[in-house]
Amino acid sequence: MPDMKVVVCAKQIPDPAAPPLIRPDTHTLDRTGKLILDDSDSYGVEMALQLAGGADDEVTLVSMAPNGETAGLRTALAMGATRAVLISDDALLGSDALGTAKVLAAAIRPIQPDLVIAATESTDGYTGTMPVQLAELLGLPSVTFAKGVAIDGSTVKVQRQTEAGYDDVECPLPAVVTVTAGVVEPRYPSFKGIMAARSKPIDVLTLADLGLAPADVGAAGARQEVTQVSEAEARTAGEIVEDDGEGAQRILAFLEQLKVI
Amino acid sequence: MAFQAVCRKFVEEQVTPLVAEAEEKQRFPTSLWRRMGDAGLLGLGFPEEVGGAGGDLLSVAILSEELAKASGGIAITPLVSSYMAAPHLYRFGRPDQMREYLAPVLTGHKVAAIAVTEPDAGSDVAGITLRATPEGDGYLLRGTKLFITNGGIADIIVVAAKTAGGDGHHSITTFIVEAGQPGFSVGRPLRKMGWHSSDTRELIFDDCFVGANRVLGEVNRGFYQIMQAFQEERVVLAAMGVGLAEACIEASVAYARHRKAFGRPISSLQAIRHSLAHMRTQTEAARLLVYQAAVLADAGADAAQATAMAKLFAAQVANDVADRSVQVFGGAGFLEESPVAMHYRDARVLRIGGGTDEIQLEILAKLMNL
Ligand SMILES: Cc1cc2nc3c(=O)[nH]c(=O)nc-3n(C[C@H](O)[C@H](O)[C@H](O)COP(=O)(O)OP(=O)(O)OC[C@H]3O[C@@H](n4cnc5c(N)ncnc54)[C@H](O)[C@@H]3O)c2cc1C
Repeated sequence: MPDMKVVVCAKQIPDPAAPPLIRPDTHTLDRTGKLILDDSDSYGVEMALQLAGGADDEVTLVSMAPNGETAGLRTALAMGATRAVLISDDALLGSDALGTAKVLAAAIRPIQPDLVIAATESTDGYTGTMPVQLAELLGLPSVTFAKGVAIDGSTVKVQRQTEAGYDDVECPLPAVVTVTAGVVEPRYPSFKGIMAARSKPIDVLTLADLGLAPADVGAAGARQEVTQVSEAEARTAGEIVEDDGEGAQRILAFLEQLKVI
Repeated sequence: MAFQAVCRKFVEEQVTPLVAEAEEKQRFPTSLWRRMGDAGLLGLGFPEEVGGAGGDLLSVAILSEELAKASGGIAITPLVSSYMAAPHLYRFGRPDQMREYLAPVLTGHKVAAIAVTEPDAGSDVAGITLRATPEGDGYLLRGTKLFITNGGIADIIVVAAKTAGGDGHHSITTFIVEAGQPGFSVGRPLRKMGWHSSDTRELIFDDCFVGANRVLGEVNRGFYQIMQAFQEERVVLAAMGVGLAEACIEASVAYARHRKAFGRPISSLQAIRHSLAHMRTQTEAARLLVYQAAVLADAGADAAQATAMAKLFAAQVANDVADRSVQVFGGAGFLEESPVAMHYRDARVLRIGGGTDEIQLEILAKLMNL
């Protein structure tokens, strides 16, 4: 039996560096191309590796992605995760956050983890609601916005980011914790890690494997619909202030006008 | 994630943001040593038993390419330490020497340099004159080295010296010297046309004592040891040429798409688009020669010809592509703030360091039995 079992929800997303493709029919992101590990999940992977880095510990990645995509999972495996579970099924197209949470919960439940880590929100969807829905479905407590995570026996101690600083929160394990980008610095996969990742196990599951009905997930089960997408307003050119000795006053006046000071 | 993608990400996140300041201050950003070490990028091609990170020469070539895309001056610094100096320690070092000197270099805790060239002997390695005279249980080194990369920042220097009279082929020995040893000093940083963030020095040996336990490899076999290690060094330098050319192409393509002349983007002008297509082709050909040399060496096959060709061709391609990229930029390319000016200056040394074009041609002519 492994000492400490951590599950990391690892989303695979279209490369944010490339211009996003929006499907005209569903108004959602086209995810049929090559996917990579969401940067915001690399923090969770690193956190998990630091908390469960012992020889008998286990870090399992859980991901839902179309077309059996594993490229992003291989990256996280190369960082050092033990194994991965991928749920890929055509019926999952059009899933909303709750649908995703149902699928991930079904995949995570049999693993019986001590801790589930997710990012506060994904870089492509930004709903920020999936992890708490997941916690609810798993019947676990959740702590969000962690900027620091430590395990103390059967308790997880979290520094929960607030506007003013952070709160110290303690919570019994098992639990779901969402981490911010400040929590740890993700490592770069090493050459050895990349080679080792090639032979690490990835279980690919379908809805049927999880015992879920297609009507409950995907577009069919979605309770949320994206009705319209519009382009963000282009940023207008800023004002350039030449400092002729009055620069500081001009900045002060500008900030006062914005009511930020 | 393929290894190249990791190198690219590392360089974009950890190296590129430091380039401007490193060039300006003409100083290597020291924080990179540990970062590269932690990412396993300083021990590629060395087995784990000696503290290495696995991998092979091909992986070193890929790293070299990606680093050189950001900056030649930054790239050459760790590349000399881990992939031009350290191979001498690995190939010819005893187990105790590897533990003491090689292992810390492969993790970035220590920096290494390789000192062969002298004021009066560069291409002619057998013509060096720095003397190592037997003294007690060791040797006294006397003479100077010139153009030594990392000379002022290295902790460990592999030094070639004459241990006997006569023909250099049979009278050179390599030694391990540590910075700060009595009798060893370094000159001021040499000011260079390019590689501004790389440290290049004169090294002065004034009766510097090294114990017999610091002989690296066999006495009087140094010339052959150096020639063996040069193979790897040349692949790494050639890969730097490919990376430099690639960076010039990326910058030129982006510029040509946006820059308008006579009412249309210059990328639609045949003179420019054909030049860019030529740059692409040359660079790809150079890359394949470099990969071939690395793959042959990794397979334990004879890579002498492929290595000389790769070094010669990639260095020339880097210069040609850098020159063409400045032309694409027009006047903007002549400005230091353009993304290609630094590469234009950095390209030139690739045809000189690690064996000049002429030396590569001599090697190739000899292999043709001419
Ligand atoms: C930035 C920089 C960093 C360097 N770093 C290092 C370092 O870390 N360690 C180190 O040991 N050295 C280093 N070098 C030295 C470098 O290896 C030598 O400059 C190079 O080998 C050429 O030697 P040379 O400068 O003495 O030129 P020379 O050998 O004097 O050559 C002058 C010219 O004559 C030509 N020539 C010489 N012999 C022949 C021949 N047989 N046939 C045809 N043509 C010939 C050459 O090709 C060249 O065109 C560095 C040099 C530079 C510029």
